[in-house]
Amino acid sequence: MNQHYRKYSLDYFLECQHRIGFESVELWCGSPHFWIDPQGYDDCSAIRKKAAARGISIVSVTVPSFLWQYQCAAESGLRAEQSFRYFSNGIHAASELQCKIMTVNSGWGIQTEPKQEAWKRAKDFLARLCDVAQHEGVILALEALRNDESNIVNDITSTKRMFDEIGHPSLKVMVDTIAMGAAGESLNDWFDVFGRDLAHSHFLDGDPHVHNIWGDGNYPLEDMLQTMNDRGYEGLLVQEVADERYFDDPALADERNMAVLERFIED
Amino acid sequence: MQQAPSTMIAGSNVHYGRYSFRYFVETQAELGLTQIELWGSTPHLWCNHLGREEGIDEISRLLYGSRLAVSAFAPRPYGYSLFSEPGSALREATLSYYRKCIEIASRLQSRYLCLVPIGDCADTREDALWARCSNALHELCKTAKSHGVAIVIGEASPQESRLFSRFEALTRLRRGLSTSGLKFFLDTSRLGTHRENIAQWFEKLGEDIAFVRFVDSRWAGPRVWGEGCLPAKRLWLQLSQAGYTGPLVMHLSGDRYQDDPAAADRRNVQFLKGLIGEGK
Repeated sequence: MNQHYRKYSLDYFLECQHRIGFESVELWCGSPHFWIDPQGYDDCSAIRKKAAARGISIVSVTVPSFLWQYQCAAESGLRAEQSFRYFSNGIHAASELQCKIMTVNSGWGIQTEPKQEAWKRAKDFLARLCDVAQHEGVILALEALRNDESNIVNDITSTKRMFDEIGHPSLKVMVDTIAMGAAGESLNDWFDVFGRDLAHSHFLDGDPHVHNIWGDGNYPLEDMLQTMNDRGYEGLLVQEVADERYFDDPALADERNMAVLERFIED
Repeated sequence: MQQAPSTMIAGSNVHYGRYSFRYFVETQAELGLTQIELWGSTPHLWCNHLGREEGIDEISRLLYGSRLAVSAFAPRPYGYSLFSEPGSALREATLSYYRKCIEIASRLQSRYLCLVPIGDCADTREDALWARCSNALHELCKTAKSHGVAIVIGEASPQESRLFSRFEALTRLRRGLSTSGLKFFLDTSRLGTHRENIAQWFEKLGEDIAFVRFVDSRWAGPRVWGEGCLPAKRLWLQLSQAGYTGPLVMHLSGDRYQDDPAAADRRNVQFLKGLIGEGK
């Protein structure tokens, strides 16, 4: 994933992924790598070809919700309308990039408003977005945020409630192992609740609050991979290396990460 | 030491992101403040590069009701970048966004639009980055001037920018844009990380220093006074000796004070009133 390459160009990111041995990536659609706004987005075919030329497939996308003014629980008509266009464009871009999955989160409200208002905004917004996704053949993977990031969906209970209330065939669930750890939960807890509806993951080494590369946190990697295998998980293990300390030299972070992960990879 | 009025103390809504703007304004009024640096960001103030905006009239009304003036408008940079490539969608969006922000600054009767150049790509040549940023600022300064607003530039942290985390970059920019009306702000949390001093700032940038973000700090970022590692008395003495009488902005960016920003402001104001001679 290219989120920690934000101080470098997209070309540099792709070169590094090729050199280090990543064959599939999740595209973080943030600047300076990818332009997307409520009106449009970059030429996806050019980006797909650029990646393919280095033997890399773009398999999923994340449209940033912290980087810009747009989020899924936006407080008013104008903000919600602009946010909806923005995330809808993310779905169109995902489709053009030939990705099956786009990650989403619930957005967030503020502490000086009733919680149910922010909840309702997020639910209605995501339900509308699911219709767009269905039309494009894209699955939205709902991610819980940490409770310091969102007061709406931030643990298994709230994820399950949102997932059930929306109840849309284009909505699945993903586990972010950092939000999971911050909420005091385990992978088994997530599989117990969601089973086959757990379709995607951001799979990082937590301590538990920071998005570390493997080896920099405290998680039991072997046990967690065993859980993924035991539960029949067939989705991706996306390396969403998001901590700022990796931004200066993201390639080194990816090399170290791969050095740990490749011990567990079988061709 | 020179006595200064507590009206120099200016609040900021940068750490009130989990609360309404009304809550922020009520807190500032309770603390007896008369001016703020307005952090232009969701959930308080919403605008984008497509000319859309929301919340400005409500903000004006609340500020007016509490007799709070906007000493500077600091729009959140989001993903926009002054270093973006000419002709790119990001470049057009960046210039459109900041032009919109200039217009908002003017409507809020703020003399200053505050920018920190961040987001320079590490694999792009420095001279190209410099030219892009400098040209963008030149354009924005012209627009700002026509609205009666001045662009004010501050130092970035090393994590935010390779080019603009050095004092020399600001003095070079001043030489290059000498007739543009460009101004600068001094941030004491950056002084701490860059091993600079106030005398150096006033010697090199003097009357072009528009205001000061006056906060304590540690390596991880700004702190309420007394919670960081900066010598408050010494810094205040140096500002006084330099003849500075402008705003002292309590700009507490980062996550640390988001849970209870009002408590952080109360501690900070109490400390500052004591420091500048009105707290006894």
